[in-house]
Amino acid sequence: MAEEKKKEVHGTGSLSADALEAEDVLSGAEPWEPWETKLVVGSFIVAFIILLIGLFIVPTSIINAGG
Amino acid sequence: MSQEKKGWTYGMLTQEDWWAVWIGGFFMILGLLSVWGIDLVGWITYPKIWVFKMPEGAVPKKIVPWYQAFYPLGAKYSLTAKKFWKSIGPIGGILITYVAFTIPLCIGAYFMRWNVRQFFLGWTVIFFLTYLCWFIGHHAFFAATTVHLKKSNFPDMFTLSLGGGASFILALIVGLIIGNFFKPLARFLSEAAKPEWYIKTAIVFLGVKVGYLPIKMATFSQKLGHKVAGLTFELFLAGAVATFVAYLIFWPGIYTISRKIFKLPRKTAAVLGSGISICGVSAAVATGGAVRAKPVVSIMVSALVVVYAVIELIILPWFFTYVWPGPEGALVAGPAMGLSVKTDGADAAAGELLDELMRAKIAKDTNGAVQWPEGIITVSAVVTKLWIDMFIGLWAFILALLWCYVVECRPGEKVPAIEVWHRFPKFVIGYFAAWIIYLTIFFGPGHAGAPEGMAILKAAKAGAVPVEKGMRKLFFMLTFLSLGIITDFKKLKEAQFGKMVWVYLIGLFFFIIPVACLISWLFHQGMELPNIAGMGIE
Amino acid sequence: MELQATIWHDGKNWVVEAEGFKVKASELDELDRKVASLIKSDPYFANKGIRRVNMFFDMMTIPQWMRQYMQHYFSRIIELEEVK
Repeated sequence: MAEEKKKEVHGTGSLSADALEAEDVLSGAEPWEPWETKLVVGSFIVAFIILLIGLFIVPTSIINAGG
Repeated sequence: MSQEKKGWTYGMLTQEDWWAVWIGGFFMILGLLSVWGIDLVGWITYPKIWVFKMPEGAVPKKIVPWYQAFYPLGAKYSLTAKKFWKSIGPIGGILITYVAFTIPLCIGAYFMRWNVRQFFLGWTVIFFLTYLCWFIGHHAFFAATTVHLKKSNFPDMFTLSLGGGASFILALIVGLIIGNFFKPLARFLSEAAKPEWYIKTAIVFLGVKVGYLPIKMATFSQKLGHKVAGLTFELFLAGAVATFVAYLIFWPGIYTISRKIFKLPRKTAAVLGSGISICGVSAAVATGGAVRAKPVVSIMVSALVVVYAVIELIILPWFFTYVWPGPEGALVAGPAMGLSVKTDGADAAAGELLDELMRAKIAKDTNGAVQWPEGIITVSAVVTKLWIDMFIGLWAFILALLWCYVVECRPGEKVPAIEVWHRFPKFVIGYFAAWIIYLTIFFGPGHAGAPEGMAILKAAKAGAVPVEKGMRKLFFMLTFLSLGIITDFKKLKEAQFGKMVWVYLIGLFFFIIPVACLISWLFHQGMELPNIAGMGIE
Repeated sequence: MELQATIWHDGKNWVVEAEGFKVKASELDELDRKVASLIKSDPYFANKGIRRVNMFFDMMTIPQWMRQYMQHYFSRIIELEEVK
């Protein structure tokens, strides 16, 4: 059975990744694309908005509790 | 291999997450029976600080002779079976504890299709080794603080003042020695060395603790009960907001560092971004799946995560206690720990260690004039991590949509919405259920600590203490030991990880930890731990 | 009608298994195409009117020590008519 075979290869519980091919994990970086900029910048903007709102609504924040 | 449709009930009998809920919930319910006068949890056996020989004039109160180093908690806290639990003694208590946990854990192992025999043997070794570490770590030289010495009328003597932290450190060291120098033994124990399972179960017990804290305080002072209930809500709210902010800064930050500075491919950067910045292995697996990375990416990142998490566990509690922010910022340090330390096991363990170190330090610094209730700092470290755990499912879903419909548009592919549920950390349900149940007792029949509710609060306390104190600490100890056993530092040397090791090191110490500290400081500024010195509260 | 399938990775290829068939490919696009063409060409599946394949990842691929942290990798749905 395929399941048995998989157990032999992967189900050992060891930390090793030897049984798997790793060559393309670290190399072959694609060029940076505009959607990545949007994702990164968008995420920072949302974080900043939540930060501002949070500082006002959380009673123990530095704004409400004082520093 | 079955190919049935995987609905929302999938994994209820086959996943550790659910088994943490079942086992944690089972013992919580056993504890709750004390409200009706039935004590079924008093057997859990707990350590005391001990010495080989009591000095003249000393009282065996906080520090006892070695043969009294363990006692079933029911012998002290039970309202209905105190005599019985006393009669079983320490050895009987440990054996009952062993049997009481071996049965449900082996049933869990069976349903999760592990090798039950191997689990049973490994568990037996880990269990008794844990109790041995607990015993040695509670020797007065390691554990006794000024307060313990005073209360037992001991002469002034030098001790390391580590409180319960000494046992945790010892369990971790023993685990690491096994994991790094006795590898055949580590392999033999690996079936039962499950830090995540143990910590998830411990977190359900921690839910009992959070709900029970106001009850405990109210039995001494109603005002204190209200204050602590308020503090747990504050931690809940501040932790949620801090987590969302941190997450949305961490992930894109690490992603950009990986892509721009270390020139890693997108999928590797995405998985690494989650692994380093969010909740370690679970995030690495969830993100790997979301971006359809080959499993090798998640496996490599995860191998790094567990090693770095233990490094953080070793460094951060000491750093936060003795360098910054110190005891005056204890509730800034706890959430910062939750945001910094990856994997639930390492974080909760680091939080627990921080709790012990901070309380021991404040007691020492103030010569016993300031004492904090045990466990609140741990809760502060775990709450942020729970929010992170819940958020990863949502973030992975967003990434899956992005990858499916924008990055790699494969015609015909759809992302099922049930993915969010499949990635949801189910043990969190157990934590919140336990919290709400005890809080309901406090505000409902307990009349928020008013005299008319005191009888029921005291009855609830008798069943809650063995769970939130005894079982929780035992499962933390099991986590420390198991974490050590599965951590092999040699893995960091493996050449194939290459620059991932450096991304991790730089990302963690120069970006994640400083940002975590800053965000935690911004949101937890106004929190204060209640001083319980002189109130007779332990 | 839907077909429930299991997907996993053997170290080199993605593999899909369901009701007696097993398809392998190194990339998911290619895998989808192979699955679609097999189902469309096989009278057994054609008679069943299969239009959609639900692929659920088999966690056996992930090493056992990691499964305690996260027990779901991914599941995906493929609309066969849209696969090109």
